[in-house]
Amino acid sequence: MKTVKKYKDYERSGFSGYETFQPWDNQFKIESPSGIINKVFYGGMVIKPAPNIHINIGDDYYKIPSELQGIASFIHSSRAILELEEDWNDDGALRIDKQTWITACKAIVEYSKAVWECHSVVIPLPEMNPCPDGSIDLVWRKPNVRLLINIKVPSSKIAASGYGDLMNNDQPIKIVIPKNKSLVLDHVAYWMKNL
Amino acid sequence: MMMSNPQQPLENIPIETIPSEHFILKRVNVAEIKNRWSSKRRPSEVDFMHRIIDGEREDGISTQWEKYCSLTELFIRVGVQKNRKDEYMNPKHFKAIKLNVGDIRALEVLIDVDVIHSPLSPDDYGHSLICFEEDGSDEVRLKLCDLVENHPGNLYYPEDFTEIIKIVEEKRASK
Repeated sequence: MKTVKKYKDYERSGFSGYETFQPWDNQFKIESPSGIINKVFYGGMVIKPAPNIHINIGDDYYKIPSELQGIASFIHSSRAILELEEDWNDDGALRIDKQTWITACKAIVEYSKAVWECHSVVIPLPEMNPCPDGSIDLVWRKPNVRLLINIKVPSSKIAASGYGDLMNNDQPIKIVIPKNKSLVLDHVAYWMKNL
Repeated sequence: MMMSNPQQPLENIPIETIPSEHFILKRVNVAEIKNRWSSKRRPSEVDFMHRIIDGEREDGISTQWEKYCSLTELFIRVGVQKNRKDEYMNPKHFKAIKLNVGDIRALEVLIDVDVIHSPLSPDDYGHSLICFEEDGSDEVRLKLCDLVENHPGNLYYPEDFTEIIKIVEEKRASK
């Protein structure tokens, strides 16, 4: 099989270390020295990320520096949010739409990349919490900083909103991200250096 | 049932002003944290989000005024309610948050936040709402969550559910 040959090529290159993934819908790609391995192996084995990771999220393709490699497995795990059934909180919660999850993942990737590329700062991964109205909360909390970005449902008038500060209302930031434009707002990325 | 929309206050029931020194109680589902693969914090900002009922955003966050609903009664209330699958809810799956009304009103946020009495029926006279606008709600949710996190004693879970379950079963049987 063609895929197996690539796998062996990769193994011969001296790379070691494997990570087990459950197969999923090909939104996850990892680059090897001999080219992009496009499919998850049938045995559920995927080669550990090379210096650059390529990820497909929805229709978009991202190249992520190795410093941010934790994002890949984070996004992979977060897909569990889509399995929640209606009324998952016994209080009338709505299902999480796949497009909302995709937007949340893109926001994490794009802001992580922007802060890294502009400021050489690796921001920590957020909590990703499903909300009863079908939106998704991304939350960063540290003793001296807090940030909440709420990714809206597709029918909303905006893509996301949020608020953050350095506690005690120090350096507050209010966030409104419009739809159909870049998720990354420069002033938000600059503020995220604080995380 | 007395009404189709559970969030619509009934007429002819007196509305009171809740003094700032009083407390409100809010239930939070702790069984639901199994759905949170990245966060087990309780409460989290999610617990202070408005529900969407029939496509409409609630007027506020549902709570109970402690003057008319004790902690025990809050858990009993949960046990006699049904979810959308028409199953009774398990009181053991919930914790209760207790918040001072004055602390909520004193939140340093950009939008107005208030706690208002909003009785739904004579049997639910303690029903109250934490009210704030959608624009700016992220700041409020973040800070309401911190109100509880900074005071761990504000999160309650009964040590013994025996009496609660007994009353719940009696009420279910009498329905």
